[in-house]
Amino acid sequence: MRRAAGRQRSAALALALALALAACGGGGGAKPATPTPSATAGAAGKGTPVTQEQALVLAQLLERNWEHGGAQFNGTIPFQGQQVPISGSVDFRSGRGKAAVGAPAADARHYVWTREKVYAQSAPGKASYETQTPNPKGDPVHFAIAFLNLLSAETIDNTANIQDQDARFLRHDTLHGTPVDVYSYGSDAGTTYWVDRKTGLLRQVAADVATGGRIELTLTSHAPVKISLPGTA
Amino acid sequence: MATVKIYALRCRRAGRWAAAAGALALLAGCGGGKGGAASATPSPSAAATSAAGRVLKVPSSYATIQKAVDAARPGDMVLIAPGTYHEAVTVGDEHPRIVIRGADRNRVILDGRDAKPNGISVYADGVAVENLTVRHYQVNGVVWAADDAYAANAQFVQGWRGSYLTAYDNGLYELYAFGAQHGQFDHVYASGGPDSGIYVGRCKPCDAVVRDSVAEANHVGYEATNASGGLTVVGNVFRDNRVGVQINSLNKERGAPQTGSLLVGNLVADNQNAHAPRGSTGFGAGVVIDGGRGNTVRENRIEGNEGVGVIVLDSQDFAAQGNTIERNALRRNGTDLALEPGADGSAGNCFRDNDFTTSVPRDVEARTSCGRSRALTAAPLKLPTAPPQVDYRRVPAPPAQPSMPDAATAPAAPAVGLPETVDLSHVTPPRAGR
Repeated sequence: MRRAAGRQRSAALALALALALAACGGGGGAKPATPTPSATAGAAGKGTPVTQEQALVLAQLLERNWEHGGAQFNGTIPFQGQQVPISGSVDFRSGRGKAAVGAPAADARHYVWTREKVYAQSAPGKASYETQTPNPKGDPVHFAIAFLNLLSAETIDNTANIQDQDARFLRHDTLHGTPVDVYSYGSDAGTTYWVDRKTGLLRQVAADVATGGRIELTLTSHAPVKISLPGTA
Repeated sequence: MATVKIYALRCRRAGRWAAAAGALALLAGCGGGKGGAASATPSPSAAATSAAGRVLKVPSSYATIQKAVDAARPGDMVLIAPGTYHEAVTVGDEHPRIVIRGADRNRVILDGRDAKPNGISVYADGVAVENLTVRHYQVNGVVWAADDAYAANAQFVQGWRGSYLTAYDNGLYELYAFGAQHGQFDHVYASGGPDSGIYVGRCKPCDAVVRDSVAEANHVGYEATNASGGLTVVGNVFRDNRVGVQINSLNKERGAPQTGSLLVGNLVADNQNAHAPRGSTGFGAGVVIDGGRGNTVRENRIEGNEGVGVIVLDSQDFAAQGNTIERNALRRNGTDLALEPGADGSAGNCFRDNDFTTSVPRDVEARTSCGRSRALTAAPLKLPTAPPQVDYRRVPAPPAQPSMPDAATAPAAPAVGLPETVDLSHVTPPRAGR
C-alpha cells in the first residue's frame, strides 16, 4: 500500500517507472553533456510462459541485488531522441549512487544521489554540485536513478503473481561471454531481464520508455559500494 | 498462542459437505466448545466420496509426501506421520479433491531449510491441507494458486481449504490463496512473514472465509489484495504485526480494484512489532483500506495500534470508495479512525456508530455519510517510522498450536462445497484484553 503498509512489487514498479517517463518533457534541469546515439537491445520476443522454476528465478532477482549490496553499471538512457551513455555505481541498500552521463568522459556530467536528493555537477569538469529534488517524471537522468533504485528488494517477489502477469522466458543467450537466460516481465512485455544462468544475478535490464527509446543497463561487479556525497555549490 | 474464541458466532453448513466433512468443520469452525453456538447440518453427499477414498500413509507406505500425492486420486487422504520432511510438495491439477493431513499439527513439520520455494503448492481444485507445520521456505508456506495454464487463461482454482496449519518464517507469505475461489482458512496460525501471514488475493468473486485464526509477528497479519466478493474474515486475531490488516487495490496485479469484503468480529491489536520482518515501510496501523471499495469493517475490537486503528485512503491507482466502518470498539490507538480524502472528498466512505475517541479529520462520523460523497479535507496522518529490517528466518518459532481433533480417525473432507455459511447475526466485538 502507499503508506501505511507500503508495499512495493518492485519489478512491476520498475516497469511502471519506465512507463511513467511518458510524462517526461525531455527537458528538465539536468542536461547531460554531449548526447551520443547508442545501440540498444531489440524489442522482446514472445517466448513462452515462465515455469514455476523460472518464476522463482525472477522472484529472487531483486532480492539478490539487495543481498549483494551494490553493483557497477553502464548503459544508455534516452534523452531528446538519442541514447546517452551512463555509467556508475549503485548502493542497493542505501539507495545511494553515482553516475557519469554523457560522452566522451571529459564531457560527462556527474551525478550523486540519495533517496531524497540528487546532486548534479554544475557543469562537466566543475567541482561544484547543485542539489535537485528527484523528478523522475520530468528528468531522464532522475528517471534512470529511480529505475536503478528499484532494482533491489528486501524480500523475494511473488512467484504466483509473476506467472499471473504473463512473465515469459525468451531465450538462452550469452552476454559478454556469460551464459544468461532472457525474460520479459510486465505489461506489454516492455521490460527485459538478462539473468546469469549460473549465479541468478541480474546482468542486464532494458525497458521501453513511452516517450521513445529504451533504458538499458548492464550490471557488473555485484558487491557493496560506498558512495560519498559531494559538497554542493 | 492458541486460537481463542473471541466472538459469538454461529455457523450453518452450506449443505454440500459430507457428514465427515461436516463433523470436521464443526470441530474446526463453530463447535469445539469455545463459545459460539454451532448448528451444522451436514449433508451426506461428500461422505461417499470420503468413504471411497483411500488413506495413503507417509512414510510407512510412501517414502515421501510427494510420492503419496502423486499416487492420490480424488477423495484420497495423504496422512503424514510425525517427523520432519525436507520436501517441497506440489499438487498438480491431475490430483484434485484430495486431503493432505498431518497426524499431529506440531510434530508433522515440513522444513524447507530456506532452500526450497514453497512447502506445499496446490494447483488443483478441491484440495485441503490440514494439521501440520510448514517453516523455512523461500517464498510461501502453503499456497493455492492457478498453475501456468490456468494463469495464462486467468482461471481460478475451484475449492481450497487450509485448516489447523502452522506456518512460520517463510520468505514472503505464510499461507496464501491466490486466484482461488470457494475456500477457507480456519484455525491457522501464521508468523514471521516479511509480507503477510494470511493472504487471500486476486479473486472475484472469492467466495471465501477466513476465521478462527491467528497472525502475529508478520509485516501484515492478514492481507487481501484485489480480493473481491463474498470474502468474510471473522473471529480472528491479528496482533503484534507491523500492520494488522490490509485490504487493498493494486493495479500491478490482475483484478483491481478490490471490492466488497467483510471484516467482522476480529481482534486487531498492538500492531507495531519492531521484531517482525518487513516487506516495506508500513508500521503501527490496525486496519488499512488502501484503494479498496465497498468493504465493511464492523464489530471488531481494534486497540493499541500506535499509529492508527482504522485508516481509509486512496491507493496509487484507485480511490477508496463506499467503505463502511461501523460498530467497532477502538481503544488506545494513536488515532482511532482516519479518512484521508482524495479528489472525491469522502467518496461515500462511511464511519458510524463506532466506539472511539480520536479521529482524523475530527468528528469523522459527522463528516461522512454512507453512500454519498461529501467535501472533506484533512492533513495526512503521520504514522510511526518503520524500524529496520528483521531477518524473517530468525523470528522465534511459535508455541505449539492446538491440533485438529481426531486427526487420526476423521475421514477425509476435500475442499468442496466451501466456504461454510457463517451466521453473523450474533457477532459482537471481541472482549478487551489479550
